Amino acid sequence: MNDNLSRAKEIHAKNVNFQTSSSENGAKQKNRPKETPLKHQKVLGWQPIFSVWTVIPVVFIIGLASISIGVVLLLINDSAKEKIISYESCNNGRVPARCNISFYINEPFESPVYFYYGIKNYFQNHRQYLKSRSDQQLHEVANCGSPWDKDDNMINIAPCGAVANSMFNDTFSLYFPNGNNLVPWTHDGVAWEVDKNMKFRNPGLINNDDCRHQTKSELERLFKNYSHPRNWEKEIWDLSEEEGNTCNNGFMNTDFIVWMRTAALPAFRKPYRIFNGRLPKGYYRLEIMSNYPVVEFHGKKSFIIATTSWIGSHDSTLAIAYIVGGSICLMIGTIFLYIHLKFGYKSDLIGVQ
Amino acid sequence: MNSDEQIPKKRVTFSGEVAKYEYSSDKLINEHMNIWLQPRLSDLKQDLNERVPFSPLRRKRKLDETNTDFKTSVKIEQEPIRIEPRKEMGPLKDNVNQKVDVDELWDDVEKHYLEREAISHKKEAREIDCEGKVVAHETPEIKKFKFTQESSVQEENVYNNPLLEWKPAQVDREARAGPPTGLIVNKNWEEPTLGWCVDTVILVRRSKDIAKTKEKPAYVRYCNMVPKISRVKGKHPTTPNKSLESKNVGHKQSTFCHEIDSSAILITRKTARKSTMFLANDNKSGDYKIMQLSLDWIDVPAFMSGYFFQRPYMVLRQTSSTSMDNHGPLVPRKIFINREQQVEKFCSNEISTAKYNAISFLPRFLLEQFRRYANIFFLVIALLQQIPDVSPTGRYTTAMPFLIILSVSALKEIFEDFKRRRMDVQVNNYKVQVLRQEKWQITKWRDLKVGEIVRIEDGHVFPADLILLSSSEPQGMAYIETSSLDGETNLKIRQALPTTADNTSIAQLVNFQAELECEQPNKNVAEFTGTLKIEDNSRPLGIKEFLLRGAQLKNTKWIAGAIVYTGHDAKLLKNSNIAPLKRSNIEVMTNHRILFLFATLVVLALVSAIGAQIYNSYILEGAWYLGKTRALDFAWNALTFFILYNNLIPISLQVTLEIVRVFQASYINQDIDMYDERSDTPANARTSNLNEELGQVKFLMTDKTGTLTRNVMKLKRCWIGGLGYGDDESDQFSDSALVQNMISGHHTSENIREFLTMLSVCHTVVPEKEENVISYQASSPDEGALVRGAAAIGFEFHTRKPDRVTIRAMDRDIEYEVLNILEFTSDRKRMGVVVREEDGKIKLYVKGADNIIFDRLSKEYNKEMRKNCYEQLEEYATKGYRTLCFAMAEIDPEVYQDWARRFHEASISIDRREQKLAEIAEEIENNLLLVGATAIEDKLQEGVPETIRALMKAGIRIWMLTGDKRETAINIAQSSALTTQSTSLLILDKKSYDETFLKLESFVETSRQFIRDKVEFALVINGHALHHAFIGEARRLFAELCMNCRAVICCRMTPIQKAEIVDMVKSIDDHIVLSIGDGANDVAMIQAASVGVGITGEEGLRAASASDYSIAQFRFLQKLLLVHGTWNLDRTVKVILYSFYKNITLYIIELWFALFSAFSGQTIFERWTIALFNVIFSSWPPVILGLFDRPLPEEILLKHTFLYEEFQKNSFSLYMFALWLFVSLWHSLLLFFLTYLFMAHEVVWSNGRVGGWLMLGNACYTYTVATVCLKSLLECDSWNFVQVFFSIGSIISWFVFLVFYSMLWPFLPFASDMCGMATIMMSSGTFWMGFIFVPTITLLFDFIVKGIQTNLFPSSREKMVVLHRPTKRNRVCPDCPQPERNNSYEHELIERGPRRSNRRVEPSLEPLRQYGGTDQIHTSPPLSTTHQPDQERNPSPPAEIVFTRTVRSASSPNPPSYGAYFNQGASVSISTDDENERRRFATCERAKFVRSSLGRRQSSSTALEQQAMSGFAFSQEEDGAIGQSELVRTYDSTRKKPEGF
Repeated sequence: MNDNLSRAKEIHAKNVNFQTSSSENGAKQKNRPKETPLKHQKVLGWQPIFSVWTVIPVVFIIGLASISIGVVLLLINDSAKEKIISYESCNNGRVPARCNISFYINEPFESPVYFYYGIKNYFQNHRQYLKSRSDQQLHEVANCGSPWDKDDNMINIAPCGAVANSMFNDTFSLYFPNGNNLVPWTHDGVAWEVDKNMKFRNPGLINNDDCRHQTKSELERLFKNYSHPRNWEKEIWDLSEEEGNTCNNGFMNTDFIVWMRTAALPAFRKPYRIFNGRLPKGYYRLEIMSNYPVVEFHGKKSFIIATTSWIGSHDSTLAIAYIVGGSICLMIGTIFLYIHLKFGYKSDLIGVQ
Repeated sequence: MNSDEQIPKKRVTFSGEVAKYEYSSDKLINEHMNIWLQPRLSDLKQDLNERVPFSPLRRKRKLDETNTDFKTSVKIEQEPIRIEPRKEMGPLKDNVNQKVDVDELWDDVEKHYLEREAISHKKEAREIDCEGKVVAHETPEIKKFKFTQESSVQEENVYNNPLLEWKPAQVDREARAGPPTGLIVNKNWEEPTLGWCVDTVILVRRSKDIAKTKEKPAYVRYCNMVPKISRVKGKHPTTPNKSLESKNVGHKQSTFCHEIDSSAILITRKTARKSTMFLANDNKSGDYKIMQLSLDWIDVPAFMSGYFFQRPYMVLRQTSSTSMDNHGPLVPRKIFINREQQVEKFCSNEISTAKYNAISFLPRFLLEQFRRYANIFFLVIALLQQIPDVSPTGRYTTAMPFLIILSVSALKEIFEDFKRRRMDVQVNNYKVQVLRQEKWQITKWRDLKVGEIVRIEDGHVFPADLILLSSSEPQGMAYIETSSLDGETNLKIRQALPTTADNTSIAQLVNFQAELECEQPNKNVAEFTGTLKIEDNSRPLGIKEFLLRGAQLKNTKWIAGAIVYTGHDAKLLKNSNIAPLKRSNIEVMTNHRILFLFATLVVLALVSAIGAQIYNSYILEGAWYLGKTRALDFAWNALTFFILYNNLIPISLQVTLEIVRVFQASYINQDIDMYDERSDTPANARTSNLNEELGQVKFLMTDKTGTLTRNVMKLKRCWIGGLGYGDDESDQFSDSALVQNMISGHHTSENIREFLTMLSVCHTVVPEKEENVISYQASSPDEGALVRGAAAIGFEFHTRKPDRVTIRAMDRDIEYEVLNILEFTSDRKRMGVVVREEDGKIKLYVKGADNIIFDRLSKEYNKEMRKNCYEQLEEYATKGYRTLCFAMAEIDPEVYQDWARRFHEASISIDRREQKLAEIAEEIENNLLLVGATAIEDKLQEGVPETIRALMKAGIRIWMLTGDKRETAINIAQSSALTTQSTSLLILDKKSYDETFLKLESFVETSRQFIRDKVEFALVINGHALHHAFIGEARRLFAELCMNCRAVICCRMTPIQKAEIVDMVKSIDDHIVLSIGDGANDVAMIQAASVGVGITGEEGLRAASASDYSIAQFRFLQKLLLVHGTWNLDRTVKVILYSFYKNITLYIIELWFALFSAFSGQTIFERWTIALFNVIFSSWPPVILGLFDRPLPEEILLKHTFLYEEFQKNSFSLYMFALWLFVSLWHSLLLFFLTYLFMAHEVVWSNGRVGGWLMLGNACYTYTVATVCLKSLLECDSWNFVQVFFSIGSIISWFVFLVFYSMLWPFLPFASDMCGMATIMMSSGTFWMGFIFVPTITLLFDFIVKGIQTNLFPSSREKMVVLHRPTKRNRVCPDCPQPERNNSYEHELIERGPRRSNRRVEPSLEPLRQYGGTDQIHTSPPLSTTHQPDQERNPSPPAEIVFTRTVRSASSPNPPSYGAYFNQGASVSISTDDENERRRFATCERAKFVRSSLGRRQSSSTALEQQAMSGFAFSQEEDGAIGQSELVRTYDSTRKKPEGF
C-alpha cells in the first residue's frame, strides 16, 4: 500500500513537473481548475471525536452549570408570590351574580402587585375561534370578512368575530382588610405597549396621542354604523367609564386588548389590574360581578393576586428542570467515568490495546 | 429408440396440476389457462420425448389468400390437442378434461399479449414510426415475400419445423440450368425452382454454417433420435443443401432448425411475425408467464437449444436492452440506388438526441417531476390549501415554495437539453459529397436520402449506413475503423462487389442503376444481408460490403457508397439507447422513505381528526364561545390536519439536494487531481444527481481498449538464441547489442538474422508507401508492432506483391516468395508462412503462442534453451507483455511439393475447409527450430494497475468487458492487475445452453470452495456463453457466480451485450454498477449503468457525452470514487436524513400542541414562520453539511481504501432512518414539553403581563431552530468556520427575521399576530433561561449516544481519525510503547477491512505484489484435501478449471501432491514467503512444463480450453469479411491505385 502511495505521489510529482514545464512554455491550459482551498475542499477543519475525554468533561461541566443555575433560579423565584382565589362556585355558576369572597394573605405582597383573572378549560387556541377576528378592523375599522360580521339586521359588527364576542366581562373590586377601602389599582401597564399603541386603534385617530383629545361622543359617532357583538350588552364606546378621552375606550380598552391577545393553552390567566403599592397581610374582601358563564363548558374561573420576579410569576418548574437536568448530566458523567476506569483501555476508543 | 414407432401422434396428453395463469384478470385467458399445462414441465418434456421423436405438432399451413390479415389467415390442419389429466397425478380441477384447441388458445393469448405489447411499445415511438411507415407502404407483392422469407429453403427441402411455417417460394424467377459443376446432386432432387448456387463465396459460407450447426447438441440429439437412414422425406428435417439457391436470406437461417430443441416446439407458434411465444414458469412466483421471443435468427438457437422446458424460467423480453428487436413484419427493405423515387418512405438522416422540444417540454418535464412522490404530494397540498377554511396555514404557504422549486429544476433541464441540441445540430450539419445532378454536391448530413450515392474521403466518417460500391483501392477495397462502434481500433477491410468495383468514375456512377434489397434496420452491427440486383443479375451482399455510420474511412483515398439506412435506422443509432433518465439509488430510497412518511402523515391526520371528533362531541359541547364556527365534519378535519402536518415531508429536500449536488459536481469539475495536463481536460460531472452513487459502486464495468490500454502496441523485448534484448524503459525497442551481435559474428548471429527476417516476413501486414514513408496496415495490432519493431532495427518490410514480399535488411533488398499462408485461427493460435528464399530454400516460419510453438519444436531441441526461453517468457508475462514465440523449419523441396498439392486441395475444398487446412498445416508445422520470442507491450494507461488494485481493495468487483479476444483480454487483465499470476481463472466459453448451465453449476461450487480457501479467482466468459448465462436457471447461477467473483473478464462482447450485462448485474440485487468506457461502443453500457463514466480520450467524445461523469484518465477513477464518492455519499445521506429530522422535529410539535388545542388544527407557530423554516432558518445547515462535511480527509481515504466499503454499510439503511426518526421524535417531545412547562403559567415577565398564543409558539420555535441548527454541527464530522458560521448564523437569522417580521403590522397587511412579538419574547427572562436549557438538554441525548457509540462501538471513521491524530494518542497513554500500539491499532483496523494490508508482506514477495500479486497471505489447507475431492467428484476436471501456468510458491507441506495435480493439467498457486517451498515448487513447475512440451499433442480445437491460459496468442481478425490470405494474395503495393474522380 505504501508502494501504491509512493507511486501515486510519483505520478503526481511527474504531473507537477510536467505542468510547471508546460505552463512555462505558455501552453494553453485554459481548462485548468484554479487551486483554492474552498474549491478543493481543503478548508481547515477540526474533526470532533466524542471520546471519553470529550464526553466526560463536557457532561460534568454542563451538569454543574445547570445545577448552579437551577439553585439561583430557585432563590430568585422565591421572591415571587401568588394567591389564587377560585370563584366558579359564585352563585353556583349562574350569571349574572354578585359575590363577596374574603381571603387572608399571610405575608405582604410587595409593589407592584398584579391581579389576574384565570380561566380553565377554555380553548382560546381553538383554530376556528382564534382566527375569528379581524386585526384589520381593529386598526382601521373596516368590515371584516368572517361570518360574524353582521348582526340580525345586517349591520356590520364592530369588533367582529368570536374572540371579541366572547370577551370576559366579570368585574372585580378588592377591598383592603381595614374597612371598605378599595384597592386603588390601575389598568395602566396591563396591556403591552405595542398593542396599545400600534395594534389597537380607534377610528379617527391620526397620531397615537390623539385619543386624549377624542371624546366619547366622537367615538360613538364613528361607530354609529356598527352594531356591537351579539353577546355584548355594552356598546363599544361604553367599554370605559371615563368620559374625558377614548384612550381606554373602544378598541383601545385595556380589558378588550388583553382579551384579544388569545392564550396559547386552555388554562390561562389574563392580567386585570396593577396596584403600584404594597398589599399588607390580612383579610381581604373581593367583590365579584360574575357575568361570564363558564359552567356550560366545565370552565373554572379564578382571581389571582401575584408579584413577579425576574423570570415572571411564582413557578419553580424552570429551576427544578435545571437542577434535574444537571443531576442527570452528573450521573451520566459518573457512569462514563466508572466504565472508563473499570474497563478502561478495553472499552474506550483511545485505549484500544 | 425406434423412430418408426414414434411417428408423430397428433394427440398429446398433458397431465398434472392446474397452473395459475398470471393474467388471471382477463376472463378469456383465464378460462384457457385453468386447464393449461402442469407446472412440472420436466414431466411434460419426458412425455414428449417418449411419444414424439421430433415434431409433435406437424403442421401444414394453408394460406387464405383473400384474408389480408396475415395473422388470422394461418390455419392449421390439425386436430386439437387434448389435455387430459394423468390419473396417477391425483385430483384435478373439473374442467381439465375439456378439450382445447391449442391454436385457438394461442390466438387468444397472443392477441392479449400483443395488446399489452402494443402499449409498452408506444414508448419506442421513433422505432415504431419507421416501422409503421413500412407497414403502411406494404404492397401485395411484398406480402408474398413474407413467406418466402420464412421458408428460405426449397420445396424439395422442406422440413417440418413448426417454427417455420412456410410455403414454397413462388417467386417468378428463372431457374438456372443445371447444378454447378463438381457437385454431386442427389438424384432424388428435382431441379430447384430458384436454381443452383454457383457463387463459391456463398457456398463456402454456407458450408461453414452447416458445419457449425452440426456441432450443436440439438443436432446430435436429433441424429440419435432419427438416424440418417431412417429419415423420411417430407417428414423429417434434413440438412439443407448448400448448393441450392435460396432467396434473400442467409443460408445460416435455413440451418437453424437443427439448433432448436424439439421440446420447445410445443410452445412455439406463429413465426410469421418473426416472433414466438412461450409459456414459461417463473421460478420465483410459480406463476406461468406468456413470453414473447422474437425469432431473431441469431438469438433463437441460443434460447432454444437449451432445455428451456426443463428449466422453465425465462427472461421476459425486455424491449430496452436485449439484442432482439424488429417485431415488425419481415419485409425486406427495397431500395433503388440512384433513383429519387423510392418504394417506401425512409427515415431522414437527421438525428435528434435531445430530450425535449418546445411542445414536449412542459408535459415531459412535468411528468418527470411528478414521478417524484414528493412533488405530487406538494401539488396536492397546494391545491388543498385553496379550499377555503380548510388550511390552517393559509393558501399560499405551500404553493409558493413549490413553484420556486419547480422553476429551478425547469431551468436546469432546459439548460442541459440545450447543450444536447447543439451537439445534434453540429452532427446534422456535417458536410458530405453526394451525387446529385451528375456531379458531386456538397450537402449536409441531414439531407441525405436512402438510395443516394455519396463519396467519402480518407479520414471522414460515414454519414449513414452504406453499401460500398467502389473505392480508390484495388478491387474496390476499403479500410475502415469502427472504433466508435465496437471499440476496436484495428482496421477492418471492406470490399465492393466485383460488379460494382469498377465504377470509379463519376460518369459510371451516374449511370449506375441497381435495385437493392436488404433486411430491415436492426441493431446487429456484425451482420448484414441483402442482394444487389443489377439488370436482373442478383448478387448477395454481406457485411463485407457494408459500411457503418460512425465508422471512419482510413487509408483509402475515397469510396463511393449507396445509402442503405439513414438517421435513426442506422445501426449505430439502433445500438444507442435513448438516454435513460437516471435516478440515483438514494433518490429511490428517499422516495420510499417519503412514502413511509406520507403514510405516517395520513395516520396522524386521521388520528387527529378522531381526536377532534372526540373533543367536539364531548369536551367542547358547551363551548358557547366558539359560536357557530366549530362544527366541521370528520373529513374536513382530516383534511385540515393533513395540511397541517404536510411539512413532515420536507419540501426543501429536493432543492437542498439539487444545490448540494450542483456544488458537489463543481467540486469534481474543479478537482486539480483529476485534471489531465496533457489534454487539458478537467473532470466533468455532466449530471449532478448521481454524485452519491459514486460512493456506492459495487461493480465496475470497464472497457479495455482506450480505457485501460492506450491501444498502442510496441515491441519491447525479445529473446533470441538464449539472450534477451531490450529493456522495459525505452519507448521503442532498441538494443545496440542485438545489432552488434548480428554483425560481429556472435554465435547467435545467424539466429538473430533469421529472427528479424521472420519479423518482417511472417505476417499479413500491408505496407503503404507515401512519399517514401512507409506506414503499415495491420489487421492485428501485434503484427503491426512486430513489423515496425523489425523496421526500427533495420529489417524494413516495404513491398508486398500477391506472391512475394520484399524487405530491406541492413540496406539490402531481399525478396521472398510467399508460397503459402497458414492462417491464424483462434484454434490454431499460430500463424505461419511458407516462403522460398532467393537461393531456392523453402522455409516455414511460424509464430504463435508459446505452448503451441513449444509443442511443435524438434525433439532434439536443446532442453536448456527451452528452459531458458521459458523463463524469459515467464518474465515477460510477469511484466504484462504479450508474448509470442517464433520458430522456423526448413522444408525439403520434394516434401514441400507433395504438401503444397494437398494444401491446395484443401484450400479449395468446400466441405470443412478450415479444418482440413488446419490438419494439413499441422503436418509441416513440425520439428521446428525455436528462433526467438518477443514481448509486445500493449501500453496501459497511466496508473491503471494501481487504480484497479485500489478499487478492488475498496470492495469493488471489476469487470472488464471487451470486444477483443480472450487471450488479449486475459493478458490485459493480468497487466492491469485485475488478475494476478496466482489468480485462478474460471473460463466459460460454452456454445450451448446445456453446457453453459452445467459449467456454471460446477463453477459456482468451485467458487464457493475458492472463497473458503481464500484463493483468488476470476471468471472469464465470452459473449456467446454470456448469452446463455442470462437465461433461465443459469441466470441464477450466474448471478451467484458474479457475486462471488472479484474480477470478471468478458470477451467478445458486442456493445449491446455490454449493456445487457450491466443491466443484468444491476438487476441481481439492485447493485450500483459503474461503467467506464471511451468509445461509442461503450455508450450503451454507459447509459445502462447506474453511473456512466466516459473517458475523454482520443476516440472522440461520444462516450463522454453520453456519460454522467467524464474524466480524462482511468486512474482518476480512484479519486472520483474513493474520495468524491465517499464524501458525496456520506454528505448526501446526511443531508437527506437531516432534512427528514428537522422537519419531523418541528412539525410533529404541531401534534403535541393539538393535544392542548382541542384538536382544532390550530398551529402553534405563525404560518409564515412555518413556511420559512425550510426556506431560511434551517436551509443552510443541510447545504453546508452537504458541501463542507468531510468524514475523513482525502489522504486517509486513498490510503485505506477499504473505508470505501465501510462507508456504504450504514449510509442509508433502514436502521439509520429509524434512528433519526426516533431522535426527531424525542427532540420534538422535549422541545415542546419543556417549553410547555416553562411557559404554561404565562407570566414570564417581571412586568406581570402575558404573551398569549404566539409567545409559546415563538419560544418553542426558537428552541427548535437552535436545536436543529446545533444538531447539524453535532452531526458534522469536520468543523470548520463555514459550518460554525452557518449553524450559528441560522439561529441568529431567525432572531433577525423575527425582529423585522414583528414590525410589519400594521404597516403592511401582514402578520398581525406577530405584531411586536420580538420585543415581547426577547424581554422575557424565562425565555432566555429556556434558550440555554432546552437545546442543551435536547442535544445532550445525542451527545451521550454518540459518546457511547464512539467509545464502545467505534466506527472505522472514528478509529481513523484517532489513528491519524498523533498528539491525542500521546496524551492518552504516555506509558504505552508507541510503535506497538500503532501496530496493533492498524492491525485491528486492517482486520476490519475486506483484505489485509500488504504492508506485512515480506520483501521476497515484492515483485509479485508489484504486478498485481495478492495481498493475502494464506496458510491454506493442504492441496490434497482441498482440491482432490473435487477431482474425484469430477472425473474430467482439466477442462473445467484452468489455472494459471505460473506458480510462485506454495505452503503445502505435501509436495508430492503437486505432481499429481499437475498431471491433471492444472496447478494451484498459493503465495507464501517460504523461500524453500517456493523453490521446490518452481522445480515442480519446470518439470511439468518439460513434460507437457514433450507430451501428447492435442488436437487444437479440443485442446483450446485447457490451454487457454498457457500462452498468449496474438489477435487477428478471424472470420473477417476478407480472409487473411485472400487479402495478402490480392494486395500489391506496387500497383498504382485508381485515381478516380
